[in-house]
Amino acid sequence: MPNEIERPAASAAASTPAAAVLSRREAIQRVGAMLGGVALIGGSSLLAACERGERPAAVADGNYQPVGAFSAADVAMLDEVADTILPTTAKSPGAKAAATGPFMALMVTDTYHAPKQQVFRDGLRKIDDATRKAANVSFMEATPAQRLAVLTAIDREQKDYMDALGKAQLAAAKRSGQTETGPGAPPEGTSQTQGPAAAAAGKKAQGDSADQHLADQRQENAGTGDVASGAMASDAPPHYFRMMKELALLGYFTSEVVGKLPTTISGHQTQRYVDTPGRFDPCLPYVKGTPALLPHA
Amino acid sequence: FPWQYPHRGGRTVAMEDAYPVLKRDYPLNEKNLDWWASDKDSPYTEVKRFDWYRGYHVGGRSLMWGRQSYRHGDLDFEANAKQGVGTDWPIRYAEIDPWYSYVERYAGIAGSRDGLAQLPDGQFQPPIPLNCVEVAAAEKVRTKFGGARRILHSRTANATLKLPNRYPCQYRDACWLGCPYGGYFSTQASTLPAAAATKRLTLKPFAIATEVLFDKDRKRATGVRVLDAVSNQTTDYKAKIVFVCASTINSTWLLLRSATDVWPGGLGSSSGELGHNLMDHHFRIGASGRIEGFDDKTSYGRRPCGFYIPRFRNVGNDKRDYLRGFGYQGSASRDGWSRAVAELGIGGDFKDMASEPGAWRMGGTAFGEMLPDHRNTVTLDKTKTDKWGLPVVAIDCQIRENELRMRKDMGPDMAEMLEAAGAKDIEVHNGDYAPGMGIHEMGTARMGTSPKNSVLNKHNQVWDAPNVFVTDGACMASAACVNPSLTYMALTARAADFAVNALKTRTL
Repeated sequence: MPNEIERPAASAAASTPAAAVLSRREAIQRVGAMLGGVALIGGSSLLAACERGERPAAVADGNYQPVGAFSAADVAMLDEVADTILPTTAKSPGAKAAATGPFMALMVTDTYHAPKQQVFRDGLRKIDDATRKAANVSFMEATPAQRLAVLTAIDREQKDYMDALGKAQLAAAKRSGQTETGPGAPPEGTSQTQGPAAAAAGKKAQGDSADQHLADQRQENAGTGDVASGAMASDAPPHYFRMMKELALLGYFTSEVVGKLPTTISGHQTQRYVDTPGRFDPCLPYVKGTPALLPHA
Repeated sequence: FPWQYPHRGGRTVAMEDAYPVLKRDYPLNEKNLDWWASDKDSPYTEVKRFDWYRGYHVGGRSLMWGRQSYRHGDLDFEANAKQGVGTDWPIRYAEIDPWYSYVERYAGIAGSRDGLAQLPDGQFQPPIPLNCVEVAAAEKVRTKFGGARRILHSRTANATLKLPNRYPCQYRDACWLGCPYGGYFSTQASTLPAAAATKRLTLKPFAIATEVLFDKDRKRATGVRVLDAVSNQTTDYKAKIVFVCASTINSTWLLLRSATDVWPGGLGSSSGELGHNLMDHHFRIGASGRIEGFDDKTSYGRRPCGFYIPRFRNVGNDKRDYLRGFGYQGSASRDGWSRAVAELGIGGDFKDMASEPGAWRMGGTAFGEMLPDHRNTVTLDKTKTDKWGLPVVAIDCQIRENELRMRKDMGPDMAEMLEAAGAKDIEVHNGDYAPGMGIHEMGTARMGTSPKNSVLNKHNQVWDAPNVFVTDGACMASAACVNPSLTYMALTARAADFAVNALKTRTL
């Protein structure tokens, strides 16, 4: 039985913030070293988990791979949808450069329950139909301007839909007296917290929570007399384009491409994602237009 | 890096299927999934819903804890006796004060000294600063409420100064991964290296203590029986003293299985209190709002904490229609890209907007004290066994009238302070809470003044087996409203000191 613990050798360097930029792999390996000989639980499997993490790479045109139930063509279309939501600008590359389409397909495959996956996949077809209707071409054949016009209209539709859903959920929460949820509440399908704090608390909170109610989705909300909600069921699934927008933003802003883009803080150049800031400066000047520093995942 | 997680830190359907309990709240995520106990291997019975979040690895929850570290004061130690609730604590603040100081210095607690009776000051390292929005709000709230309500620095076990073999917090906000710098107090960073340095440490991972071995003639424990979780081999270890620190419910689970030939209800059950008075902190209520006037300000570094608002209800002249009170944890920060999900718009301008920081938002969540109640129990469920054949625990716990009354204040009080701070668009949020979600399980083997009313004496010794010490959350006679770990640490250090002296003087 070992009775000595190796200190992480590289920690000495870490005491100097300037030298403290560790890669995540290195950091994890040091945790492993710290646990080495004592407990390989956590340390080794966490490292393994990171090894599994695939670095997203931009996909060369025509080289898309199928993901789950998404064909290579679906994945390619998702990449274009994401790139229409988040196109290249003078300030930064677009979603395609960050391989956002393959990421979206992976997220839908791995994190959405079947009914929500269906809504999402149907959404791709609806986008194609809308493009044919508006421009007589498929979405993939459409020009960037045509795609932007089609998705802008769909975006307005999703916004109206999601606003109505939010009202229906608030009304339902009030009716069920969620504010005084007491002892003995059922463990499954718990209702979600409302408000901006909830939105901030979990990027996918709304999607996940709505997902839990999908078993009897789209029930008519008859008899509630809730005009404001447009008679929408409070447990209806999110709009497919909200899902796409959410996943596109998540994939893009947590990508390596964006994390390594330059920005400035208090006049000093840095990257948008800094692994080891090394210090906390509570109050610095901010110049409008400067990209934000990014949080840990 | 965020991009190295396939799902960017999120949860998959497969993970939800594998962790039916863990999925009920934020702990289920792909960042440190392997540090949570398997719900399937280690089931338990929920007489009422109880969310039990467990870490069964070396270091346990010291790796995943929230690190907020506050002292109980005499307001807390005296409350049970004054109000006729539960049983009196056998100690007062003066007895534990030096042990709080001892563990604060050892663990490295960053905080400010604020001179409040309800939240005693300690031996702190310099605090992690409040940002400019929080500083401004703190001043306005202090003025508005005449000093009765205060926004303070968090007191957190993230070091701001170097400690032996440890480095200060690097502001990565990655505590949950286990800090390679030892920036926060954990077993791995702090106490295990110290134990190893004695050259007398033997660590047995994958070990499940199945019972405390008890000699009924000498009325002393003789050791523990241990089941190897991998090989299923059983080994008896002999010991002069036994410290039980398996986390609240697991410690009591072990006692319930021990010395049953003498007491059918287990070791420490003669008082009738073993397994009773389970507590948590009830929370998930608070408020948040938008703060204007600071759009030309930002901060650098990812702070592992925020602010703390100590209890002000039923303090001094304040009197409510419930007992005890609550404190708030919160912070102010600028909205990030995720705000754009719900906003109308796509395209280049939308992307550039989402890339910039958004409005400042400030919010706080209340953590309320839950009274000890004999009806909130942990018992053995002999109809169900875990992967290793042990009968599981059944948990029957709920919040009651006092907590429900308190919850009526917890949202509006925060909204009031945000209003004083000049916040706009203030929203009270009120999520569902089930006992256990606070991950602050306490009680079930409480300390007390007599073997008739408690399981443990004032030195955390089991009344019925004085060489058995229980020093984790199980020992708590009341919960207070502050995060409890610092108190477990202080009581543990105090009990260990007592045990060592008793061994030396052969009085144990």
